[in-house]
Formats: sequence, C-alpha cells, structure tokens
Amino acid sequence: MPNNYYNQLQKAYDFLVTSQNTDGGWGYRRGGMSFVEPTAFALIALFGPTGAGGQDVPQNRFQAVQRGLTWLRAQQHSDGGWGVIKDDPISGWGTYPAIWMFNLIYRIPELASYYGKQDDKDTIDRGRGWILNKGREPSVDDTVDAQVQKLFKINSKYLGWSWGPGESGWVIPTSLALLALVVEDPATMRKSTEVINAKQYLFDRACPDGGWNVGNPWMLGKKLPATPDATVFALIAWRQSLSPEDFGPTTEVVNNGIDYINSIVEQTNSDHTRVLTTWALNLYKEPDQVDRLQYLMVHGGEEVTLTYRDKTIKKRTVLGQDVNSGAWVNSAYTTAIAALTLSDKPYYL
Amino acid sequence: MLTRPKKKKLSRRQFTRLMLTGAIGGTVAVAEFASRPLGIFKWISIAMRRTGKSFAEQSKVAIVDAPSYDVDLLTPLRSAWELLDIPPVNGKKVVLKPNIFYNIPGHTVNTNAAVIEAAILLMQEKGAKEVIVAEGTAYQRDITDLLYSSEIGTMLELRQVRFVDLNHDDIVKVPTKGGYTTRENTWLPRTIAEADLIISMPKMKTHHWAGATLSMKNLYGVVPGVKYGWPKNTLHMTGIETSIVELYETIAPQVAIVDGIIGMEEDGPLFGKDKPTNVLVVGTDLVAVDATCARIMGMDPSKDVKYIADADWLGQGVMSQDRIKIVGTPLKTVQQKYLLPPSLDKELKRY
Repeated sequence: MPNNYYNQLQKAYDFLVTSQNTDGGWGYRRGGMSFVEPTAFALIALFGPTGAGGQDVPQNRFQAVQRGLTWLRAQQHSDGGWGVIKDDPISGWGTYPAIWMFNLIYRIPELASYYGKQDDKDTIDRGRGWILNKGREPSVDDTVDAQVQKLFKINSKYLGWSWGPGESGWVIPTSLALLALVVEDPATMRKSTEVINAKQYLFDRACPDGGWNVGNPWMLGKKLPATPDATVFALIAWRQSLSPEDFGPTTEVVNNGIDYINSIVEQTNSDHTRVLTTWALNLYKEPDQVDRLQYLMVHGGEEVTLTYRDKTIKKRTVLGQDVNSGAWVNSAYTTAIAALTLSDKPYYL
Repeated sequence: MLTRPKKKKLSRRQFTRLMLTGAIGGTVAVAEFASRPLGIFKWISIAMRRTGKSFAEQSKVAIVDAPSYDVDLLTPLRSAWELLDIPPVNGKKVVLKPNIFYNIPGHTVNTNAAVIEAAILLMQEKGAKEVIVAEGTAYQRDITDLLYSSEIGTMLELRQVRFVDLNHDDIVKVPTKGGYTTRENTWLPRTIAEADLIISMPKMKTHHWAGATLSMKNLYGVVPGVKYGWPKNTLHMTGIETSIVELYETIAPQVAIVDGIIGMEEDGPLFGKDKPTNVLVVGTDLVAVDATCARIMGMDPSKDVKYIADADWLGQGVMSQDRIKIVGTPLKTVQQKYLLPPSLDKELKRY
C-alpha cells in the first residue's frame, strides 16, 4: 500500500539535508548549533527506507548521513559517552540517542553496508558500557528509599537512567536509554535485568491520572499532572520493550498513557506536541484510527480564538508542515520525529 | 687536598623566623583545607566584600500598589523604576525572565501575563534595543501549550515580542563565579549570556524546599534543560541554596520585578492557595528584594528562607531591614501573613 504522505515525507528528508550544519550536525532549530540529540534523531529519520536507508539513495542524502555520522563519531568521549554538544566534556544523556542510532545501523543490513565503519563495534561497545555503568542512577540506601517513598510515593529500588552521571533517574532519559539498549537485540535485551528493572521504573513513575511527567507522579501527597513529552517517550520505549509477559494488569498504565495522549493530540497549540503525540498514537493504533491525526499533523489545525484581557486574535497555532521548506517549526528535531511518524513501519524500534 | 666546606649553622633568629614562617604557612594550609569548599582565602574575600557592603549606601527596594491584573500596571511599574537608581536601558538587549512553570487548574502558578506586558512596555519606553521574554521551564520540554494556557503566548503575539525557550537555545560555557559548588563552569543559554540586562520576574510564592521562591530562586529557570535535564535536579543535588547564590553571582547584572499582586501561600510553588497581596516589588539588589518580599509575606528571611541569609552572608546583597531603604509604599502597610509551606521534616513525620 503506498504511503499517503510519500511526498511530504520526501520534503521532510530534503529539509533535513538542507538544514544540516556545515560541521555535519543538526541543531534544535535551523541555524542553531549542533547538538547530539537532534543529530541522532535526524540520522534515525534519514535511515527510513524511502529516505537514505533503502534502494537508490540520492547522493545528497547519502552525503548528509555520512557527514552526520562523522560528526557524531568524533564527539564520543574516551569514557564511551557523549556530551550534549561538541564542547561539552561531560558524558551524559546524549549517549542514549547516539547509541540508539548506531545500534540501528547494525540492525538493518542495508544501513550497515552503506554507513557502517570498522570501528563502530568499538564505538557501540563503549557507548553501551557507559549507559549501563554510568548513565544508570545509583542505588540508594534503605533510609533514603523510605524517605523518598514517603515524600513522592515512588520506589527508589527501581533504577532509571539519568540526565547526567551520578544523578537521579528520570522518565525521558530512562525511555531513551531503553530505546538505545533494546534496539540492538530486542529478543535478548528485553529479558535483561536492566531493561526489566527500567520497565518497572516506568510503571512505578506513571501518574495516577494517566501518562507520565518528568518522574514525580506525586509531590508531598498531591498528584502532579502528566506532560505530553515524557508520556510520549515512555510509550515509545514501552512499545519497543514489550514482551508477552507484559500483557496483564500492567497494560492499564499504558492504556491510561494512551488516553492521556489522546486527550492532548487535537487540543494542543504546539506543532511539536502534535508531532510527538501523533508519533506515539501511530504506534499503538490501527492506521485508520490515526489517519485524521496524521492529516492534522501534516496540514495543521484550524484557526483558534486566543484571548488576552479584552483582546482576541484568531490564529492558526498549529501550522503543520511548511509547504516550501518541508519543515515543522523550522526544526530538524521536530521534522525528524514527524518523518518517523510518517514512515510506513517503525524500522527504528 | 679538598677542604670540606664549613656547614652553615642557622642563627637562633633565623631558626625562629623559619619556625614562625612554617607555623603560619601550616596554619593557613590547615585553615584552607578545613574550611573547604569555601576555603580561607575565599572566606577572607567574602569578609572584605561584606565589610565593603556595610559602608555602602542602603539598597533601595521599591514597593508599589497594584490592586489587580486588570488595571494599568505600566504606571505603577514606571513609578517604581523611577524611584530606584537603575542604570539606563537605552540601547540594551533586555531579557525578561518570568516564572512559567506548570498549568495546574485552580492554582495561579505562573507570573501573570499582565505584569510581563507592563515590563515589556516599560523597557520599550526606556529605549531598550531589544526586549525578549525567555524561560527554561523545569517540568516539560515543550513550553508552547503552557505559554498559551497562561495567556502569555497570546500577549506576546499581540505585542510582537520574541519568546526564547532557554532549554533549547544554543549554549555557552561561562566560568562559575563564587565557587560554592564543585561546578567550575556553568552552561548558559546564549540569550542569557549575551543579554545586557536580565530582569528576574517571579511570582511571590512559598516553596516547600526553599521557604519562598522569589527573584533569586527564579534564576533556576535560566539554566538550559538540554544540559541539566528536566527538572534540573542537578542543581538540587549540589544544594538548593548553594546553587541559587552561585547562579546569582554568575549571572549579572540583574533587576527584579516581583509579581506580588496575587501571591501563593502554603503549599507552593504549585499547589498553594491564592494570596492577594496587591504589590509589585522592584530593585537591583535581588537579595534585598527577596528579603523585602519575604517580610511582605510575613516571613523572617534570616530564618525562613535560607538562600536569602546565605546570599547576605556572602555579601551578594543585603537582607537586614536597616540596610534596605524601602521607597514607594511603606512595608508595614502591605505586610501579610502567608501560611508557610510544609516542611520536609514535618512531612516525613506525617506519614
């Protein structure tokens, strides 16, 4: 079945190519400095079968991927991790999307043959080592665990991944670390202690009314609401880490997360949140259930009335894809996620 | 035949000098190590700075009446500004940093759009080259919906003022001033690093960890999430108070405009109750501004808000009431009694 959004997807790939920085990386916005996260996401998006990952790859896309990979390879630190930008000497959460991307190359034979390098095995081994040994939050003693239980109603025995070494675990880095680790060898990794523990972490951190936030479902006895970004990454990670034994009562947490995302996707005034939430729902729902959402993601929404004091303005807050540039909000990061959403299959999981 | 050189003997005086020098050096070294992370040399420089402050003029803090968000706020804000000795902003790039934190129905969590609008108009009137509103919110990566739900986004569009998401801005590394944590460098958004003036615009709120969240605590929102994560917990790990005073010293120059029209009492910064206080508080010494706000809230800054006491001790500004000159509305006429936030110790015992 042909992709309904083939042309839009191609324009998105073209935007990624043209918005690449001269150093080979991508920024959060066009013209912004290169960061590890959007660079990894842009590459993962370009790896799509009709992007730069299938047959007859256009030369400019091939070169863009090569230059992006060269930039990313050069940013790995001697400890195996990545900072967030070139000049950041401390390894941190940038390691998760970087290793997700490198692992993906070797999961897909075409990608390995086009873009693999001899030293990548070592790059991945060291990166994985950093994730497992440095990225994971340190365990706490029983006293701290008991205090945290009382104040936040969370179980510190479940270890998530942190933004920086030695710090507490949080939902988004835990989700990204899961994606990085599991994509290498899903069947094996899903059974690993770390992955099982991280999934327990995500269940434990779920907000009581559905969805996830940074990782504090409760604050001194009060419910802290979910946010779209954390919920989407938790759902994507959950989708990738799914094992047969996960079906059962735990799926209620996931269903609540999907319900939460459902309540956001059409209401949001943000293109980025529209793209993110559509991405997550795309992985959990049948194609006909997300047709309309994909349409809205690509074409944007209707005018909405915004009020401030006695003034009102009518405005399209969600614009969708820019028909000229192919971008969403002029951002390589958002456009990369939109491209993942529009791709036929979740090749990246 | 070689003659063995005669051994030089130390005279008694030389020996005494040597011992004395060694003793002084040893004492300084011991004092330096014993007083770390601050260190004796830092302590001496702080003592000198504090001494200098005690001879300086009083810090001026302006309090102006502002009965609600629905009235003209530019006029009281302008009068507050003109009561102070604030350097001209003409031709400067000014960044307004409100507190935009969470949308929790029934709770007024964020700096009100009308106060931000008044500050924009004032800066434009004073000839600022560019006025930017910027925030790096701690609990979510995409701030867009929060901007619209707080009406700040709509106001900015009406005023055609640029908003910068500090969490995803380009970042630059600057040397950390103060040296109170182990962070030798601090990563800052380029928008903050290149600003000529940063105006911290918090809402007057209690805070369950810090006692109160005011203009100095509001600076947490300038560090980029893309480096420090969400909810920027690394700053908590190095000590809330320590991180606040270090950020204040690292990021300058600043002015504070505190939205105290409707404050938040009890379980702040998110779940507290509205507390109409009907004031705007403005000043260039953020320690003095925050100490004054704490007094307006009925708190004792030296006991209830440790970061204010720490900043005062470090000589970053003044906390003592007799070192602060209140201009505009007298403090006593606006003082309230905010219900205090739950304390960690009490919470742990409650369960």
